[in-house]
Amino acid sequence: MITTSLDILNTYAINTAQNKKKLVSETPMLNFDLTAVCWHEVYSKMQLLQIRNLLNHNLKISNYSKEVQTYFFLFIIELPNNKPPEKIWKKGFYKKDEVIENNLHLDYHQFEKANESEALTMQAEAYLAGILQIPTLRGMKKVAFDSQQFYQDCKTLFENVGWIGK
Amino acid sequence: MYEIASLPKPKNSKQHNPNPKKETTFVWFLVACVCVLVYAGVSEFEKFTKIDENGKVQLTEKRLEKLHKDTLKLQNAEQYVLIALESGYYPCFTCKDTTAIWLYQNEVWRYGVTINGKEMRYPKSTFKNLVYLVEFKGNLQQCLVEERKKIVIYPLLPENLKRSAEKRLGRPPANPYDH
Repeated sequence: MITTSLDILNTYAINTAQNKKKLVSETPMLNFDLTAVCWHEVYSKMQLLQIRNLLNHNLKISNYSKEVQTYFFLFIIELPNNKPPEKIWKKGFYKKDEVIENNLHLDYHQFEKANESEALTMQAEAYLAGILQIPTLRGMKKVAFDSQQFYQDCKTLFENVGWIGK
Repeated sequence: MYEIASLPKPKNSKQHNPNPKKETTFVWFLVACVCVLVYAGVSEFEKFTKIDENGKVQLTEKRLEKLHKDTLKLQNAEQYVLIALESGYYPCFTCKDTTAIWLYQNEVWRYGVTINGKEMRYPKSTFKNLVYLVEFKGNLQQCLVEERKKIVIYPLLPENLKRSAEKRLGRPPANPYDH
């Protein structure tokens, strides 16, 4: 029973803490995270959440490295005649956050013409192609990361769900 | 007979100065300070111009290159929107009584304008759970007009109107101003 001002303040503090809205940015880092930079007209064909959920439900990054917590991938699908300079799309291993950041450009015209299923295949293939780049990324020379196994596991996963052909 | 006191032997310079490295470092530091002062004393006019073989004042090659690059950048701007990758709470800078707002997947978080994708130089954590969609490309003025229109029209978007009256926003969650 609230009887004093201090009780009121304490109750308010408890209620506020309980009602604190957890931001999506405050949730723990996923093993496999991704997003996109793309021309707005083709965004509806992207299946980012579907890909992200599939990877995180089936794979663990600790199977490929003890030094990496997250592999962050960026799909880039922009109008071909006005690309931003490649150098601003950062790639590499960020030791402090234990994150590998990588990205790949997909061909805009091909993606635009593709139906939903073909677009998903293009995204899966781009993701696999990105994995092959991992050993060459900045900062990766001194990091033990089994990109070969990661590639095989991803490929098998995508084949099993029918996103790429066997 | 007087004993002539022998002159003290000159001490070895290393013995006399136990920290030769510190002295060298200090000297270089002084030299660097002098260089900075000299450079700072040079006017911008002198930095940006040169005298050509005809004795005329011209812009330096470096300055001309910067002009070219800056002009290109201003002509290659883009207006973008950041939308929610997944449903959840996102920071809100335009909410009345709260600092977070629930956004459903693909709802607008922020409109912006960038020159040559400058926004993407921000750390990836800025874009955690956000998707960057390019909506318009043109010169800087055109993009600023587009951005302004979208921020101002935001209150009328279906995603905002479907919220309860007290939760409707006057601007997107991360656009506290019209620009």
